[in-house]
Amino acid sequence: MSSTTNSYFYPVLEDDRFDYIDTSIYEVEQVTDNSYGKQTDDSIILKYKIDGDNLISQLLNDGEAKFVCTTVVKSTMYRETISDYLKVISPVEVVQVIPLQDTLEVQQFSPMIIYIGEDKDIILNSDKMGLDDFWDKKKITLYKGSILAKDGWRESEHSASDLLSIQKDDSKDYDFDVVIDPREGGRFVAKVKPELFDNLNKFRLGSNSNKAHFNSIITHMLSVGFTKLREEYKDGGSDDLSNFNAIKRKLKSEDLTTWEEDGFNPNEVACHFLPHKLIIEDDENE
Amino acid sequence: MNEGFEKLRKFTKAKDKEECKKLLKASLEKDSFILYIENIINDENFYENVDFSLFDEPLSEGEYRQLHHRYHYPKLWKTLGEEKFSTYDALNPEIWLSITMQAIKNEIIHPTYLAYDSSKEKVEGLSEIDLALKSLDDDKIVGKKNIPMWLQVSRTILRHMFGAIQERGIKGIFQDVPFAMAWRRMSLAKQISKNIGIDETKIIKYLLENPTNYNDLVEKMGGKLTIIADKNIRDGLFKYILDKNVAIKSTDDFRNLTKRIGIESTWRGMGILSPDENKEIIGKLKI
Repeated sequence: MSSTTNSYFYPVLEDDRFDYIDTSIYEVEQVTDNSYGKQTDDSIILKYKIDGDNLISQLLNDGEAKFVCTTVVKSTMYRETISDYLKVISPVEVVQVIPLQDTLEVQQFSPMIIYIGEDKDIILNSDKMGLDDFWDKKKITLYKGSILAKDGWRESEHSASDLLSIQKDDSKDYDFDVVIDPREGGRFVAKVKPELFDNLNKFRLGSNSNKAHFNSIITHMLSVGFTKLREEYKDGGSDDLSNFNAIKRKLKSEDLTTWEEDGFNPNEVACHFLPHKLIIEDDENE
Repeated sequence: MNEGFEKLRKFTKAKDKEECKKLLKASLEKDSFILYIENIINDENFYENVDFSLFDEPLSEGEYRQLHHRYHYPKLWKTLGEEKFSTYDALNPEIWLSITMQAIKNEIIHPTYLAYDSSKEKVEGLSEIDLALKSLDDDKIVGKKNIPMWLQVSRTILRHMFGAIQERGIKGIFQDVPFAMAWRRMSLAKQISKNIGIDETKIIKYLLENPTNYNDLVEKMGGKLTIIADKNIRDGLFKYILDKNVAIKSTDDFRNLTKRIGIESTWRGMGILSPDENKEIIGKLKI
């Protein structure tokens, strides 16, 4: 996501803005190997870098700017801005650990570079500060906390199938039923009769044809889930269902119709989110 | 998730008059109400998610509507604390339903209390139920926005038990369920007090004396303006509004202030600044 409005009174390095020349690059990368310590389930590691000689790299070198990351889990009202570094490779390249909350809800991250010096006036020099000519000789005031660079909001990876949880239900005398559990950002819960539950476990680990059968049943469950989502939330009211909202954004970004729009096809959307990563619960109740 | 709870959550949305009639009639008496709800829930393990028996002080209807911060809040905190109550538990409407039901079973509250209308200070829940029952045979008896009284009161009863989550999402729990509102105020006060040392009681009293500001805060923290939930910003805000020279009380001023913080945060990473620095920034915002 990037800002579509020019609401800054000083240059900002951000996608779709042209304040800095092309050689100024703000990189944010998730570290997926163990090069900065063993990966754990309760955190992610982000590596940040500023390329080029520009105003931001100069402020970082002078200790007047800092890489930070704001992280949010919406329904729990958790929001924190992380500013500690795990490793300083150089003043313009650092590594940060971002804690993950123990929830099934999608967690959001917004990496930024912030000015941390005292309020000060600067007369900009485009050649020396890597800026577009527009800013040359302009006088600006940098206030403590000013956002110098923005990477936009990122989300913990989810696919629709991450949102399906399967529970054995002894009371079911038909194959399965899907309900929407609004807790922790929302998810589908498929309650399945014991025979089907046992078979799903066998199919999941069996031959390719068994896996295909497994996928087909799961797709069917997702399709029922999306149909229910449409029934209950066609007219909105799903603001707190952050997980489904993440799927909604994904559908929009891929030009697919969402459950709030005419022409929504639950089956098409369910098929779109293969392959599946599933939580299968042993207990009949949560 | 309990399927009976799903049914309970939906039947007022479907405007099911027969079901509302059963709910209203049942709510006149403790035993009939427990039987009615338990029949819908149909789960003998439903109360196992939390044990509310430590909260052993019977409440009047007035006390239930506004739990006393000095007497009831600590008892509620201790009761739920013993249960290692988490933020995720607090967001679970089934747990608040369980707590409310246990409070009825243990004679801490009477089911008629649930029907109170927060906009009618001197009208008891029982009068609301009586009127709602009459409205079943008289279409002219309507509530707000011309909604039939039987539907309005049924919704109110359920809303006070577990929140209007169908209409307003999960955050509705902290605006509708008296026990949940008390827990949330106390939880906020404890966090803020721990971070910046302001007396917990002072924070709770502010949230109690300014209920619309509390509602705005809950709405924004869990809604589109999560910036207010960032502890350095939230704590800076409380440092500012509780400053005796400032004392932001009016709802308009509070709303404008939180809105302005949202605007300021579009260019300023206030989350990295200390509560004192944020207090100073907030003080300079025009409201």
